[in-house]
Amino acid sequence: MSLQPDPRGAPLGAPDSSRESRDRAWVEGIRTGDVPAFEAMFRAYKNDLGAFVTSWVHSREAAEEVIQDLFLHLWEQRHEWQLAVPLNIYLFRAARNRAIDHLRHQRVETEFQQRIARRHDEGFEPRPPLRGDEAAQAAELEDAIERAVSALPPRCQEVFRLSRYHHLSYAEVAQVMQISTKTVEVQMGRALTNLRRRLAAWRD
Amino acid sequence: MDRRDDIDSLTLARYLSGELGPTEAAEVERWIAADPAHRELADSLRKIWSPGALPEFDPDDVLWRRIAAGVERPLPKPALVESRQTRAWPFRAPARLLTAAAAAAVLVVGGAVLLAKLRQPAAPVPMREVATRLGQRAALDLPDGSRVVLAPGSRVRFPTSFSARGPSTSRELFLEGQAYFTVRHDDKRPFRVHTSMALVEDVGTEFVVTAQTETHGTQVVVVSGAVALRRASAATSPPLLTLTRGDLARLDSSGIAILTRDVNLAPYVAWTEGSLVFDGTPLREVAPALARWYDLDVRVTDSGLAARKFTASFHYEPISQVLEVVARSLDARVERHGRSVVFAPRRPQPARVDSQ
Repeated sequence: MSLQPDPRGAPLGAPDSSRESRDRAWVEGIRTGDVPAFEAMFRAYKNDLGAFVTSWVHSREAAEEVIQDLFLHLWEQRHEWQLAVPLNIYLFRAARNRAIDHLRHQRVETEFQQRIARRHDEGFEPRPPLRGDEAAQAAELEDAIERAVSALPPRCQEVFRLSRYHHLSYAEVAQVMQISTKTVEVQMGRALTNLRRRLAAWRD
Repeated sequence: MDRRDDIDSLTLARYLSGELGPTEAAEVERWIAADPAHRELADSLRKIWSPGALPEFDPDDVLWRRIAAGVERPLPKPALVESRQTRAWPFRAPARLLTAAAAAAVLVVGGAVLLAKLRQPAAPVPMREVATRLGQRAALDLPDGSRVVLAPGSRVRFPTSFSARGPSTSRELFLEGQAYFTVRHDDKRPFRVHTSMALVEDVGTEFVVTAQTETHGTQVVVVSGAVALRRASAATSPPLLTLTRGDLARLDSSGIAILTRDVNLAPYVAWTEGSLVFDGTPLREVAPALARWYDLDVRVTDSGLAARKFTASFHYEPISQVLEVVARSLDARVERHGRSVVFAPRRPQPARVDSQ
């Protein structure tokens, strides 16, 4: 079976084996300085990594800086690049570590924690849904979900985002965050309880 | 509702996430089918469990182009020159080139720092130097958390004792060329940049110092915070000028300072992001900038042409394109042979023969 990477980049939800072969082909290419492979990898992962880093650093400019550093560093070290985990885990983990470092250096962490504390204090009360046409309702629901997710406690929120927004399996989430699969299960259960309560007004 | 039949959150979450094996999943499906209330709950939870698509990150490829530029023309490791014990005014010191790997180690922020006391200027002081070639930029994190971005063809030197915590009472750097400074402010330890003509001292945070032959002296532009400007020969006098955001001062060889307020910062600062910005800049200043940034030899043959003003911004365009744009907008012709570039006025058109 030949390993032809899909130049458009297969969606991340695609069956593991085709995504993994595509990723392995890219890694091999990048190790030998293949710029199109590097670009294809960037384009395939940028939306996920961008959203994920933004959820940590809370600013588009900061997220761009983190991702720029990540990719440039990767390119500079391409000849020595050794992957001990699948590419997606590597990229999420690297992005996560850099985002955390960025927060530390920028001394934004205090602000972030204050924001989280404020959210807990607010006792988020979702508005009940307005009666309207289907499309408007769907958009409102998405908005309400996003706000409810943003109000989750930090670790719970991160687990939920990695699982539901970035389509990682529990095992993959555990690897990215370097916690146990059991912890991931517990956090997802908590997310369910929490979101179910906050979004009760949306149940038809 | 019979509580025994309720599925716990953890299992329900695993089910919705597709983490249950077939047997366990079948059990949950039986529970869902058993009661319309369960089905309602499952349906609404499925909506929560499937958020919409992620927004497009970097939709206009702005970030990608920055990365691509780093890939094609990487921000290289600067040449590190370790000088032996030298006089405080370092420009005539001999040098010994280290390898790039050693250079990287020395530039690491917070790396091992010597605690040698900064002695009086007259005594020898061990210095570190970072230099860029033409066409090369470098960014440098200093041990105190400040940052220097060096333009091409520039050199900055500082004592090896320059550190975050140490017995030295000030942070001194020596600059040839052009650099953008982002200073970690410390009231107790002033940050001072020396050029051959001037002494620029941080009172706040971000500024650009240019000490290049074509600016005939030292030029300082302040981006944020404030700096105090003194003549190099009058380092201990009160400042000549205190500059704040938007101020541009030029200290020339006759010692006179010229101050312009509220300048458009873009042309002075864009280079740190890899953009070259010209705003009503005469060709006689554009030419050396192109020479420095693209590592070329650029001449302008006609003084009238050299005075013509040019406004444009470039971001990693290939040099051939840049030269074309400059020539066209100034109604000049440009000839290039390898590294050598010449701008000349357009040849006059042959005289038209009047039909009258």
